[in-house]
Amino acid sequence: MTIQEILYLFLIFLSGLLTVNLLIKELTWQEHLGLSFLVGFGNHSVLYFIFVLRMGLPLQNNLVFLICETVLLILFTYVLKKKTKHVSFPKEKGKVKYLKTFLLLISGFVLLYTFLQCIYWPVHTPDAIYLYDFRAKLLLRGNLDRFFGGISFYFNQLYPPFTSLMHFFLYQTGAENPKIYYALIFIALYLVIVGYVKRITKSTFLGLLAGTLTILTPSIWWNSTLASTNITLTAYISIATLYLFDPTDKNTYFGNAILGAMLLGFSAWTRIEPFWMVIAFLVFIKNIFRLKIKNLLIFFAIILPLSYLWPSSVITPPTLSAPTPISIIKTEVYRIKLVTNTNSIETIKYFSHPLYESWGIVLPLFFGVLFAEIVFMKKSVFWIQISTLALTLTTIYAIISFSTAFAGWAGLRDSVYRMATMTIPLYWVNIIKSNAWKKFNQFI
Amino acid sequence: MKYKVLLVFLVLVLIFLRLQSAINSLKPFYLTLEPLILRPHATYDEKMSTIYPVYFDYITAVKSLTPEDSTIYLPPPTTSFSYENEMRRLTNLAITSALLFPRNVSFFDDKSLINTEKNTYVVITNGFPQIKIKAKQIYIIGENVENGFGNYDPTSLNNSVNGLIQI
Repeated sequence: MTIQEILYLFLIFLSGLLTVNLLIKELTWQEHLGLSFLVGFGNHSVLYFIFVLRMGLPLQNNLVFLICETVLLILFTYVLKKKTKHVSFPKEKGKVKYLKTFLLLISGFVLLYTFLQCIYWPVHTPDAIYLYDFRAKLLLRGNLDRFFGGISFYFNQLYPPFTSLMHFFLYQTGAENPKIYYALIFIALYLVIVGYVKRITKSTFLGLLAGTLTILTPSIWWNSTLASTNITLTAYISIATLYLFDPTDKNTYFGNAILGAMLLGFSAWTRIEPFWMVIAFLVFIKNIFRLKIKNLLIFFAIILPLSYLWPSSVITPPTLSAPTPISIIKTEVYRIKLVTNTNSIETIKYFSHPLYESWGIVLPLFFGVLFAEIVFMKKSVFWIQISTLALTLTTIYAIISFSTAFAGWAGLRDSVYRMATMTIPLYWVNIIKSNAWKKFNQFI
Repeated sequence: MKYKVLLVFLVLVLIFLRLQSAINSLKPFYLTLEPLILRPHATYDEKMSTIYPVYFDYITAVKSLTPEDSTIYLPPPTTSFSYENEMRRLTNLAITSALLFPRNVSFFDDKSLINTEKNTYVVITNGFPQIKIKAKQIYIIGENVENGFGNYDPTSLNNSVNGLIQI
């Protein structure tokens, strides 16, 4: 690693940490640490894109830009005197101590394995080579026209540039291999899940259990070693959902709405498929019911510009228009008609194997726990559970919808496997925070 | 007490099952840590050559033999390769273009040899091309690169030979 690369990663972390300080009053230290990387990467890529690539600010070296960004954030923090307080809970006693050590050892092994894989093996999967990494190399050569216009294939230019920018930033610092970014996103996902579950259940053991089971899920672990967009999408969309529907959020200020909107916006900044719209719709419903209009306005004031940023920048041939939120809704309304005319059951049967491979035992466990909570424990359904269900159904719908619109759909079993990872962290959080596990914790 | 033991057992079984299936899904050899331990200082080319044997070595050879402003013609996507033939990856225009960038890469067709510009090359692989071509130079790319002058005649080369024709 070069000194510039280390400095870049440190500044990403610091800028994210300061941004979270400005937004959230209370978090566990694990959440704060994980969110710092997620917010730092997202913020830097969006700001660099707007000010340097779109507006032409003469700060091509992203490290110089990042230093300016961090200095500004330090000033803001100093003036506003805001700092996130770290919540802590009494340490669990008894045998749970040994279980926690066991879980830490397993997580440590998985995270180390991914880290070593990522720093050793170069970008090697075909779509990463010709799309995400290639775009970064075009940008490195200053070839802005081809960066915004794609290469010879239409789908290239419609894919948002988040991971390409991550590769570009790291190449600019002298890094030979940009995959350390994927390892850090994976570690951040783990930390946030651990901290979030720990905070809402007040149990470090349950936090560690949720985090360990998430990263041990084969499809998530496998994705973390690849330079594709799936692990980034999984991290941003699942964590955005957790903060937008945080059961401990009293809605007394807008920190969660802003943080959630930013994270959800970064998921739209990662991949073309509009899964973020499902969560945005649920946020709309929740806030309308509770008459939280300011929350709603702040949320949409962040998410909409972020989702429009790439479509409004991309150079498209006259025969093809970039997907904007409105055009996506129009297309989906049209596709719903096609889907109802299609043999959807057959399509789902065809894709059931990769879906089963990706979700494995997690989905039946999630449904089992949900059923037990509603039927036996007479608990009302939380927004996180509704949004997890909605994202699951949307994934299934997306597969059927895509099969009606794309001639080569039958060859996309691997894509379905990778795409389905998106909801896995949410399944584990829902399972672990359920009352059944709370009882388990009381036993120990 | 019985409940405690049962629940701890269940958690351990759940984690064991996760660990086992996770390790099974990470089986492909290039995803294991073995090369990392045996060859920690391997170069980018060496690592890519492990992942894409033959194909990536061929790409490296083409990059060293051709200037950046070259045009390189690939076998058309209709060319049939056996699955074991690593050179089948050449027909993936997107990945081959990215690896050979900034060279201009396209599929060979009837018009490819009309008004050829300088630094034009045609790939030799899997018996392709099946027509005689007037050449400035022919490179045979194996473990080493051999070059010879003269025109290309498909009948004079074995199907397993990989190479490059400079037009």
